[in-house]
Amino acid sequence: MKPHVLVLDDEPAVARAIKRVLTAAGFEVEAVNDASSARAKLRERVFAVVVSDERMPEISGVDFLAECAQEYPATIRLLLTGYADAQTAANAVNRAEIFRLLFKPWSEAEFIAAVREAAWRHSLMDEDEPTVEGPPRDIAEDVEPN
Amino acid sequence: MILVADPMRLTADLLCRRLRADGFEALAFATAAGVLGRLGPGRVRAVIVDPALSAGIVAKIRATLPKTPILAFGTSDRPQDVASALAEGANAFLVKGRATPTQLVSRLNALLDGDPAKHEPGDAGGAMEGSYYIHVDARSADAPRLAIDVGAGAGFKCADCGGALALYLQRDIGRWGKWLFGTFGCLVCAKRRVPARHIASIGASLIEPLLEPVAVAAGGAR
Repeated sequence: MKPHVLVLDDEPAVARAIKRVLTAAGFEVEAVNDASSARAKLRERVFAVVVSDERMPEISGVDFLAECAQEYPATIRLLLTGYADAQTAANAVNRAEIFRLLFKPWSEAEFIAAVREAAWRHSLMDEDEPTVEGPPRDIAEDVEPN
Repeated sequence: MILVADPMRLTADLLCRRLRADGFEALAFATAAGVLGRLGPGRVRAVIVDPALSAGIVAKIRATLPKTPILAFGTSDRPQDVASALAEGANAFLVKGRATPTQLVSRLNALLDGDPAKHEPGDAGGAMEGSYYIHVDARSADAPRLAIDVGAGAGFKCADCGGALALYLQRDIGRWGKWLFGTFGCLVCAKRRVPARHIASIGASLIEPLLEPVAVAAGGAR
């Protein structure tokens, strides 16, 4: 089973882009554009990682992740923002207990690394231990003979 | 004693906790100086290290512990990062978030049991067990050059101990498994060597045409 990642961003294009990147990196990704959909997803299954945008019309990312920290403390939280002042950063750490603060525009490699690190942290705390790899298969299947 | 070195102290602590639950003695470190200061022959059974801890950390550990299993464990699955860790002396490379703690412990046990070729799901590449021909493109390299690059002695044996060399091919997940990169490893002393000249000259992803697996013919020769 792949680690599940929930992405919350009010901009559908950004949410889709993140989903595309993380899916290609081997994660099972759910992308939503509002907090109520995110809450519904969180009730459905265990997510290893939640990535939330900071600036959204109905709720801030910090508030949403603080809520997650209360309800789903084992889910690792990442905050995505275009700009973070000291107060936002302090709230992210003190209230939402986030794992990483990621800035837009993000480096794809760093973004994936942060989510992998978060998923690994979650797996160390979770007995179910999801992994992005499916059943082992012969690597030779992937080789295209010249 | 298993040493766990990770830039994130809590992550290292959590892994140690898991290892202890599996019966290992384990110590966590979050700095290169910390882990290097605890290396000592006879006491350390294996080292699990994130190569991001410090540049060249795997090579530094290997310099002190030439025969101790080193399991590199990082967030990057880029072929150059994996090849670099293996070239520095890591016996295996696992990717965080892809390998589970259970798979990591399984891989660690395999290394401690002296089975460097065994791979588990979650490795940077899966195992390609079997026999393969190596096709060396005469335009970019030739067999003698390859032998020099991998430090092979007479008969293509390990120059250090004379053991048989095995070729480890690993999938480059970032390219949808279509590419392979290879390292040569001694089955006796477990020392790994990457044909660095080829990687340096043509790029890690292009090593695949040099290492072309084909159907195995009877008698193992083509």
